[in-house]
Amino acid sequence: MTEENADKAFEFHGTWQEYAPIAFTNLLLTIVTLGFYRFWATARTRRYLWSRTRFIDDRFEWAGTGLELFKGAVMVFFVIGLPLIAFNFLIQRLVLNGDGLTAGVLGLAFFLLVYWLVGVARFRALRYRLARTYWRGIRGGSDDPGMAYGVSYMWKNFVGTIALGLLIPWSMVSLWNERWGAMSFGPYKFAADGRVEGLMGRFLLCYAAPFLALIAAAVVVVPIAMAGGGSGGPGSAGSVLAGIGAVFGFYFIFGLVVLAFYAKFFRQMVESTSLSTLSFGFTASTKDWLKLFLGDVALVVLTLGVGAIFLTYRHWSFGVRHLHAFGYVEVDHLTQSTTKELREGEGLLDAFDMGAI
Amino acid sequence: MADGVAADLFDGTSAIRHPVTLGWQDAGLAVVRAGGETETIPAAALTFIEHRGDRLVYGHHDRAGWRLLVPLDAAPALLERLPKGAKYGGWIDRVGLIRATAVLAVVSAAAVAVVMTAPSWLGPLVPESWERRIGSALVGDLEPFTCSTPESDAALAALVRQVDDGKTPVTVQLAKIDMVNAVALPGGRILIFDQLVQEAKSPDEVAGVLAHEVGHVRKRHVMQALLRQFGLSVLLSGANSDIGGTLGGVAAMGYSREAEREADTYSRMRLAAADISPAATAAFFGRLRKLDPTAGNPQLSYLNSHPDTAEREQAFKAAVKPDIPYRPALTAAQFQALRQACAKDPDAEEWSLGWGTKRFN
Repeated sequence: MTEENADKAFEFHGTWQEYAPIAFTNLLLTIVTLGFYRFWATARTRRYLWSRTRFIDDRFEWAGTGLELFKGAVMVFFVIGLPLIAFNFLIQRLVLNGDGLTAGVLGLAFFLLVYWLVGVARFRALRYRLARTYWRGIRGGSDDPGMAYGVSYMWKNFVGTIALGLLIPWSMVSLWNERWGAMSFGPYKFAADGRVEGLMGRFLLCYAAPFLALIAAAVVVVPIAMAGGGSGGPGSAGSVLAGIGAVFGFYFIFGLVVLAFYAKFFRQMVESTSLSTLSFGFTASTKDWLKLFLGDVALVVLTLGVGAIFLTYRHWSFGVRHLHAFGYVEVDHLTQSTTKELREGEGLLDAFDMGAI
Repeated sequence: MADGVAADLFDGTSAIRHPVTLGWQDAGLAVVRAGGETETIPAAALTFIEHRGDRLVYGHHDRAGWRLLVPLDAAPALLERLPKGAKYGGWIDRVGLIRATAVLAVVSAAAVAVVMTAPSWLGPLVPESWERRIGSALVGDLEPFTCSTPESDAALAALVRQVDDGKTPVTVQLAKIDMVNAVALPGGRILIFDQLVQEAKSPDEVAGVLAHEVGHVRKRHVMQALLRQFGLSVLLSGANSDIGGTLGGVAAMGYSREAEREADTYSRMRLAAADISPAATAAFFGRLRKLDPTAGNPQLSYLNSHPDTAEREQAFKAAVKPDIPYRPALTAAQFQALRQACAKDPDAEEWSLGWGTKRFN
């Protein structure tokens, strides 16, 4: 039994009107529980988004629960949070006892430990999300606990940054490959063989961006400032506005260049990721990403912040809209995953405040 | 079974879709596959998964991935015996959203109230012996930095006798630290920094500052500060479990303004009882005001303090009574012994981390 993919493999069927009651009640309950409901809120949001996302001829299902996420967070509080607090007290005690050297060394160890944990957390969050995602009754997952990934995360980011940051694209690509290469869906392992080729051009542009921005600022601002200077001298409204415009323009141009790099990186990485007979594609251009972020800003600002509850929805819908799959799925070969069933949420990621979706 | 409802089954072992017909029997839900194989699932084993928009989805309690997809317009007779789903989760569905919101809001407000007030009534209930143990664990060994000569110890003891009214002993030591400050640490330990003594214009000033720190100990502010920070960090872990932020909160531990005022009040009361003039302490705050009290090292959280020094100066000034025959807190010889303690004690090490900061309590 073979099912060829039709027009577009992924399609999002959600509407914001349908999601709004979930978003608003989540907000309400999160407020009155001092934030504790957010675990259940996340689960409800994901359940909605997954269940409105079609892949080929069936929809996804989010099987994770709020209780799982809550348990994960509680576990992290006891296993990591409390020891870290104790560690912090120890450092204070050392400072108090005049032992600045030991405090410094321990502080560095503390930093490295947290850095490692962030890497592990990223890995485990992806693993958890795959393990709790079902399609036609089949789920994904990984048997790798992610400890080694944490080490890679640490040294690859270090090496990537140390040479003026020139190896950052390499570390990003390499970590993506490592992370996805350890994941599976059903009996199949994901494979990711992304390459740095094709990314360096845009990445080097990030270094040039400040100069480009300066030139642009000079071209635009100097005439305005001079015109302003003619009428009211330095400090006149014209030159102040020009100054604000220059600062804003500088950040905008720099952000745009970084975004251009990221858009290409993401497209290239998704395209290099495959699952058995399926390959993937991502079509969002820099312009698409820019529209997404400007839309986010407008939504949040115009609603005085309340619109933030729709950001997850927007990002999901954006992702599904631009995600493609090619090839076919042999459903009789797509058997149940044998990876570990996970019943604790991504507490670690949550603990570092990085739970994006 | 003739009126069976058509549905789809994924059995959780592979992604193959099995067309089935459903019908209720005494033993449970009969699931009949196209080939005629029938399985009866007990009603208790069925779980509601979700309303998928186009289908209702049911699962099996013991079989991961087993999914029954039932059309929304299936016969009501079939649907009404299938399990119903949760919306908000748990008991919120049972009592209803509005009532649950009200209950949760009340509980949350109570929790905040308890966490905000508990330290002030719970702190004094913690036995002082516990606090001493917590104190030595948190603070560690400060002995190398303390200055002690027989004469200075006697002078300190004389000072403590005048400004302390408690039964359990407080440990007051002079520390070779180049900051104009004094601190009350967990466990009833007070450190007066040598620089404060060196810059003091009179022993009355040292007495006023010491009485303030004794006030922190006697009013159990140290334990209260520890409890407040701990309670807040647990409560805040709900709203924001960012460990970095929580650690920041703990690190930023200090006494509240109320605690500082209470300690000042205690200080003035003790100075009055010992016939020591508060004028010198007022002058001390006057000198502090001219320095910048905000610069400092955030690591040394025990040293935090914030009340407005001008206000404190005024309060001490106002406490000076014109008709009382004040006497000095220490004799000239005693004060001299205190000032020379760090120079004369060969074992005292200078406390330093290599960065100079000044913080004031």
